[in-house]
Amino acid sequence: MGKVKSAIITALLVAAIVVLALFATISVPELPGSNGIDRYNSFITNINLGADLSGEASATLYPAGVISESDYRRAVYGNADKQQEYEEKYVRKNGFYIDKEKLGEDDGAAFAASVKADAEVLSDRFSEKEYSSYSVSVVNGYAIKITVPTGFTYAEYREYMTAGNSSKISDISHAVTYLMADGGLKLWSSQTYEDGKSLYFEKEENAFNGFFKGARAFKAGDVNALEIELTAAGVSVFNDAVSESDGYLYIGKTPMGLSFTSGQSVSDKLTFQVNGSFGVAKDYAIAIDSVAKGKMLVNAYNDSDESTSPVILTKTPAYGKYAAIYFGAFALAVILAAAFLPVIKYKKLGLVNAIMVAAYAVSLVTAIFLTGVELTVAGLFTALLPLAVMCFSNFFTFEGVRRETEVGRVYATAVKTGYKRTLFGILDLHVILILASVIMTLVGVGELAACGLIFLIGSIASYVLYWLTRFMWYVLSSNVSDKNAFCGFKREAEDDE
Amino acid sequence: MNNFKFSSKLRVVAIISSAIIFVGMLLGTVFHFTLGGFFNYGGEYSSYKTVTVTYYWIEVNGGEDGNALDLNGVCEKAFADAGVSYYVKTQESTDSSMRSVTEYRFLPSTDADALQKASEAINAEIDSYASFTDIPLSIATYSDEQAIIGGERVLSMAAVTLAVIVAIHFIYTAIRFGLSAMFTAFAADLHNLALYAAVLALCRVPITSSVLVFAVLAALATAVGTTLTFERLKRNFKDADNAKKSVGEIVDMSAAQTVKTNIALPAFFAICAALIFALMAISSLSPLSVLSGALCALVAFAVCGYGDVMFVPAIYPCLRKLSGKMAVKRPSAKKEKAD
Repeated sequence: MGKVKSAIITALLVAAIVVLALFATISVPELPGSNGIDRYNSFITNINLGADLSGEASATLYPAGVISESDYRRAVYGNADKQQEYEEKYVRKNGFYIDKEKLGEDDGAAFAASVKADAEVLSDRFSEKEYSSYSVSVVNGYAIKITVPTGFTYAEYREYMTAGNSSKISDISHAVTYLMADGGLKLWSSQTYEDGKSLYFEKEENAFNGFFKGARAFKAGDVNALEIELTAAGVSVFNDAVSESDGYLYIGKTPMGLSFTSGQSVSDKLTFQVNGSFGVAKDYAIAIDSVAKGKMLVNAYNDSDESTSPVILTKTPAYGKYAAIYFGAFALAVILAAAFLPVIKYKKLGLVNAIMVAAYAVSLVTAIFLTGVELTVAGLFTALLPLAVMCFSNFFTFEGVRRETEVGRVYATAVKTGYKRTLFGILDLHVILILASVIMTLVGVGELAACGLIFLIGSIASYVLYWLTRFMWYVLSSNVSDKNAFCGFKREAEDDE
Repeated sequence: MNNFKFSSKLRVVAIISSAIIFVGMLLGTVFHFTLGGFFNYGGEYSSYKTVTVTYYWIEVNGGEDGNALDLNGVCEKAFADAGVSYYVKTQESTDSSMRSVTEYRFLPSTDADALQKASEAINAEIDSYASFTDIPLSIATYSDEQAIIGGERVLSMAAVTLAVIVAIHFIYTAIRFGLSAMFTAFAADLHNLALYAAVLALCRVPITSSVLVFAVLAALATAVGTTLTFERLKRNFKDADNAKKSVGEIVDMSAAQTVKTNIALPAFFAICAALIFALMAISSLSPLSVLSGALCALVAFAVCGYGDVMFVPAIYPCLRKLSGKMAVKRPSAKKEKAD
């Protein structure tokens, strides 16, 4: 390869990395001439962050008959009649105001047990959402608190993109609203619960649940869909029920967004297109599947005048308001160190390694942005492991080449032999890492699966870039005037031919 | 090169490791039954006591003389007077009613009466700064939040992932380096994972999904480290110059040749862990909250370094003897056979 060709290839590669790096890292507020785009957010600011970096969203669910002290104060403040009514109706217990009737003769023990049982069902439902972290807890025995990651990107977290911010909160609100649906499955004649009548009559409470085998959400291209599986008896009941009237599926009083047209022929597997994100389809599927498997909430939540729907509150991350900035600065420092420290030892080859480290960082940021994986602190360490493997693979090979040069081989032969000797070791190490990452992705749940995907992308990038380093040896070797000394590697024997 | 003869230090390594594992597991089991469960996924992490301060524009409206109320200072003083300290402080956003919420989390073992007393003291301060509309709505409340453990699926899937990774490592080592290396790799994986769990139990780091991710990373780093060592061992066993050396000498020589790399990789990650969590501690509202994350990352990579540098060379000669087969035929042995 000629010097010119070599320079052009190197320049093209570096230019490609620089351009991608600019898109990946530089956000531009107010982009002139961009047809209405007031801000371009870089890939890195569009990566979904885990709870440790962008905070959590929480909702407290109050069962019917329980109101918080804050809501109580707000309701009675400056209203003597209301105060008297509340004093007669509620009793203060465990930091809440609880309806005396709900407490019953056992001083609320049975009520507290029912709240705990509901929390267990909710925990089960939320585990199906596969959040990177979540918690469901019973607060003072009579309320349930649900905490999930906000999943904000940095741009959303800093409110550069309020639309994305509110869309994430709306998804969380949807999840809380539909997963807290109480009661059994029902088929109603109207979209409005109050105006509808049940299309299935049976003395036994919740008998309708038994006609469902389960439900699952899936994606088909851009379409988010929900598949419901019915039992043989369920098919017959559904066909009877919707023979003369449209039917709408509910869990208790909560509509599941699924309708059946009058006279529609129903089969054992029903597929519905869902308006909204995949998360919305998943909420319906989880709720229906849970009830079909007999896991129902006993109490109605946030059903009173004081607390109608759960309020979603976002919290600052436990690692601090600016955790994401520190996190980014740290990642940058590691990448710079990995890129430039080897230059001291390996000179020109160290620069090649630096280019590969930059390529790795840029490709990983782009891949994480495109796949929508949630990045956490553990995720960063997962991304660093393949980077370390790539650098060590390069250094091993460099050392191999150095050894070959030192025993007297000319430069080209030394490179060839050095790579040949490490060929299988590095190949099968990467195969093992890729296999392990596939297992992590497929078997793991939540954060582990997200880290598995990051590791898979990283391992593939590591191996591809290892060979790109080899290619760069070839490209750079065209400029070598002294075939016996290169990048600090020096032949000891003068001539071995 | 170093002068450590790890091949003959099996007893020392075994004593150190088994003592840590035994004490850690014992304490973990005790905590499991007494404090709500080390081995329950997220048990201690999700259950906590809180003092939640809900306030409405209190800094704007507070104070008879127009001075804003230093709510943070009031809370800190109330907690100090009650003799309690929180480990996480978070601030929640304002909602449509302009409400702000600050939540202080305390360990489940914190005295409930002391927390109740602290929240009453905060309320008294808030009341004394009352302005005419907002104060009845601003309030500090004490809560006990008991987590419903829903992490069984995460935990069991992580266990399956770990088991499969160990199995892949086991099979790969068997194919590439032979029986004795296979047993050594398996022992190293088990040793490192057990040590990781034991040290976390000793440090009272609760099990969360991050802990599980670091366990998997530790297993992967072990796989990388042992592969390097076995690769070097294989080369040294094949080398005719080493034909007269004993197995122990070759193991020590290989360990010495790979020690830099085997320390460098975990050390790099341990330094990264220390750095990132130092930065997070500066950023955090409550530095204690980053401690468990920092510890699990540090422990995972420290255990890996120890396992790869000390445990593998120590146990390999022993397992090689036990396996009764030569993983890699040495030149001298081949020659003897040919003769």
